[in-house]
Amino acid sequence: MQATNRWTATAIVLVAFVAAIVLTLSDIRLASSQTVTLVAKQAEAEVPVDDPFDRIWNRANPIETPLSGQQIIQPKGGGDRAVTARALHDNDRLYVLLEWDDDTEDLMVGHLTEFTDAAALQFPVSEGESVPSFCMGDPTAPVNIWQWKGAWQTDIDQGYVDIPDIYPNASVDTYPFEDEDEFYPARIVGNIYAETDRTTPVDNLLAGSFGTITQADDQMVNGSGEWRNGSWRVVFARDLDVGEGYSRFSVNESTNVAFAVWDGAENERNGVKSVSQFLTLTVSDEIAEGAGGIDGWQIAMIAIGMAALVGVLAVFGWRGSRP
Amino acid sequence: MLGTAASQPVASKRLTSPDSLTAGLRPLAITLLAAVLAETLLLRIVVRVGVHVPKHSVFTGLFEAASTLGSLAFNFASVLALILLTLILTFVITNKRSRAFSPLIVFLAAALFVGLFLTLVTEAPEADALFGVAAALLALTVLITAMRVGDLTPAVAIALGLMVAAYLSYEYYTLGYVFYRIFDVAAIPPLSLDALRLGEALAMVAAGAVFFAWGLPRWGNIGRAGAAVVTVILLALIVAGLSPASTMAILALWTTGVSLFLPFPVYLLALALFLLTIVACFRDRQATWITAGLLLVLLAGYMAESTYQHLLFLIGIIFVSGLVLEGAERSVERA
Repeated sequence: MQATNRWTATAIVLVAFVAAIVLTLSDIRLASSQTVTLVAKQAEAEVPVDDPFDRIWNRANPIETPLSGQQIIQPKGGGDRAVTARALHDNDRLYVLLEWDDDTEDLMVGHLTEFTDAAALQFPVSEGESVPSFCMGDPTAPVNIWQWKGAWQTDIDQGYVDIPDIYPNASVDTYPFEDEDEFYPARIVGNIYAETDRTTPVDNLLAGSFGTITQADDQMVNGSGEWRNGSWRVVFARDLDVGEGYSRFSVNESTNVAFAVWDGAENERNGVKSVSQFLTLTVSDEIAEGAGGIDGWQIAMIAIGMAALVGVLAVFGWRGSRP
Repeated sequence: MLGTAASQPVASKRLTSPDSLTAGLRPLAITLLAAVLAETLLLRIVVRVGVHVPKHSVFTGLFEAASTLGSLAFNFASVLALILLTLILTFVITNKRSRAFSPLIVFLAAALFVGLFLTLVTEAPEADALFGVAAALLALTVLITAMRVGDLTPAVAIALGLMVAAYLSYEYYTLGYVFYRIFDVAAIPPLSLDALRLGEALAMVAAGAVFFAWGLPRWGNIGRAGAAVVTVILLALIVAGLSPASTMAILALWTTGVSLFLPFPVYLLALALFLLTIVACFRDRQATWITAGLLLVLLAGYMAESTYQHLLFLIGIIFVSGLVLEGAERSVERA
């Protein structure tokens, strides 16, 4: 009897091993994700990129996800926070809204000790079974990062913040060649940080592991952020498909997304940030109504029905079993 | 004294009978554990950490080999977990003492497997809901069944209850969003993040309860070698946590799924207690199934982010609940 069972066990192990080889060679993983999914439903009305508090966002399904301090590489930092994310699309563009609590609105980087509030989304560049490392991707699986910066938002809303804005009482006797670009080397070589005429507060970046983050040639992500009553709301928007080299989205397809938030008041910048793990992002063909396809009473009735069924069976089992 | 107590843990008492079915299950469980350990080491740790190591010719080859072997181990473990869960649920269902719970377990197991199949072939949220609800209720049913028909000591019942409570907290967090999506409710489920953090805290408390239930009665089994192994693992984590390029977060986030919102020493203490218990049980020949179960629960992680991790958790708690042997003994009687 024992020998028979052992042979059966051996046969099961062999069959399982052969099945595993076939699955691996077919680049299939016998498991499906059970993470929280951020669903981008189709918006029937226009999604205004310049108004993060627009009512259209009330129709999107929000998710709330925890953030942890970045603890992988120096400088470590950030902390225990939470971010609420919503997403919509209009068949041409993907819109993602991030919302998080922040007691202070930090928008200036003029002084050495000033740091801006910021938020970022991270997507895998290429689709595949393997999710990139959440810490800035990896060489075989790069990531596309969209980072909104509060300081850039100020440049757009109030005009480029220059030295006189930061030191209004400073006086300069003479400043030769003030209007000649040759004397602003960063500006003339196209350094995006030196731009005086910004069109977007969102930086489009690529990375293939930490220490490799690079500004993308195409700055095609739009967005805007607004701080109200102790919380930020930031909208990101980009065409669904912009070709090779960047994250791509299509209706009825899924990819992954991770979030990061920086609090300037806490001297957070670069790697000093709060990060999430990768979640699933699905671009759905469902219409964003957000009204609830079912009301609270119906949900309660279904829950009570299920609980009653399981409860009856459990009670039957409890009473029928002998301790 | 502790050594004497170690020979009497209730859940392991029934595991001593040399029946044929457990003789058949044992190699399957050991193979599953080997595959899960290989997958964790190669896929979750080496590949995740290795992507940041500068690669040259020989390292590139080793990295690619680790990645391929890790994928193979993952699929092997997934297939074996599916088979093993089916077998041990069959044992529990056919157990004479827990037969009254059979209709409920059959109903939930059927829902679980149908849900699993649907999640693999579709991306419908209804499939995730079916699988998730079935898995959560099955875990709860295992707990109730074990408390009713098993001879669990209070410490074992508390430890098992805390593990299941932590799992249910995480399930509330994920399933809340799944149902809100299905019913198109544009709101955040109540207390979702609180439930997630409560579950993480419960998982840490559960580690302490696990130690009191199974580790402390076998304290004498740990020995210097066992203590040394646990110390080395903890020191590696501490050093990694203090080093400029740390693997601590990778280990924490990718392997166990905790978000580290509590002070780091709490996680170290919890891991130490859990590992000491596993070592103590491993060196007790009567506690094979408890060792296997605790290892599977640890490797499933707090956040079960894939169907595979859910299966590992369910197998793990069935093993530690002692219900497998209940079924096996009954089958032996029939034979």
